[in-house]
Amino acid sequence: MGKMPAITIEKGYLEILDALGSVNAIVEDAIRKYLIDKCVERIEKSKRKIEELEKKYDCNYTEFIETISNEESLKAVEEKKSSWELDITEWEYWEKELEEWKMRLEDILMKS
Amino acid sequence: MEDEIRRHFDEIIEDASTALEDVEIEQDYSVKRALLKIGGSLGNLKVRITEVIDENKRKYAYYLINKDLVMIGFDNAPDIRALKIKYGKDYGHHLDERIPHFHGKEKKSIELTKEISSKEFLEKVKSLKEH
Repeated sequence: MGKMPAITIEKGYLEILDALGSVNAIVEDAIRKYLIDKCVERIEKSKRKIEELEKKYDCNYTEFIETISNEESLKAVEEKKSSWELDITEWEYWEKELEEWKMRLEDILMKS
Repeated sequence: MEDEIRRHFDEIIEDASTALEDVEIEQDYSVKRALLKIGGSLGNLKVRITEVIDENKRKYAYYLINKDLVMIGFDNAPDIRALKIKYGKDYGHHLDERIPHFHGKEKKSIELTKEISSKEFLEKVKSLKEH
């Protein structure tokens, strides 16, 4: 097992934490709560961004990839959205983000 | 890695802020990747830049737009037409592959290119504007 990283806690906080119980357990719980909040925040942001793009193209990401894989249907897209490449670069980004932050959240919740 | 990406994005923002007017910037930094979106104008023309650094891979789309029509565009999206130029009949085996390419006016032409930076794109845009 690798060396566990050390963190510095302000002396004043440490005295209070000591009085409340195990400092390690309290810090670990606080970090866990922070990470859960962060995961939820990122999942919500990714979903919001994906919804904007789904609305713009009237389909989901998988359907859009299928559409642009065919030259005829790609032409139809370009008649309405001539620079879709700007959006697909961003769309892929938020799809990956959503997937990964969901997995991180699942991992944290499984450990509890 | 994040510091390096931030420095890279800061350079793009600085170049765009110098070259363009009404610049709007959106950035997102995450664990494995980061996103930069820039919108701006050059006279009546609109410039849009989207760049993603995803686990050291650079994904980009740089476009000059007049109303809704593409004037020029550089990107490395997996465009089926670029894949056909590069791989001919075998393009179907490479549908996920990113191919750097250029779109001419109204996307009536397409040609393969080397990887283009936003700096090169902005220089091209400025030279078009001057002529």
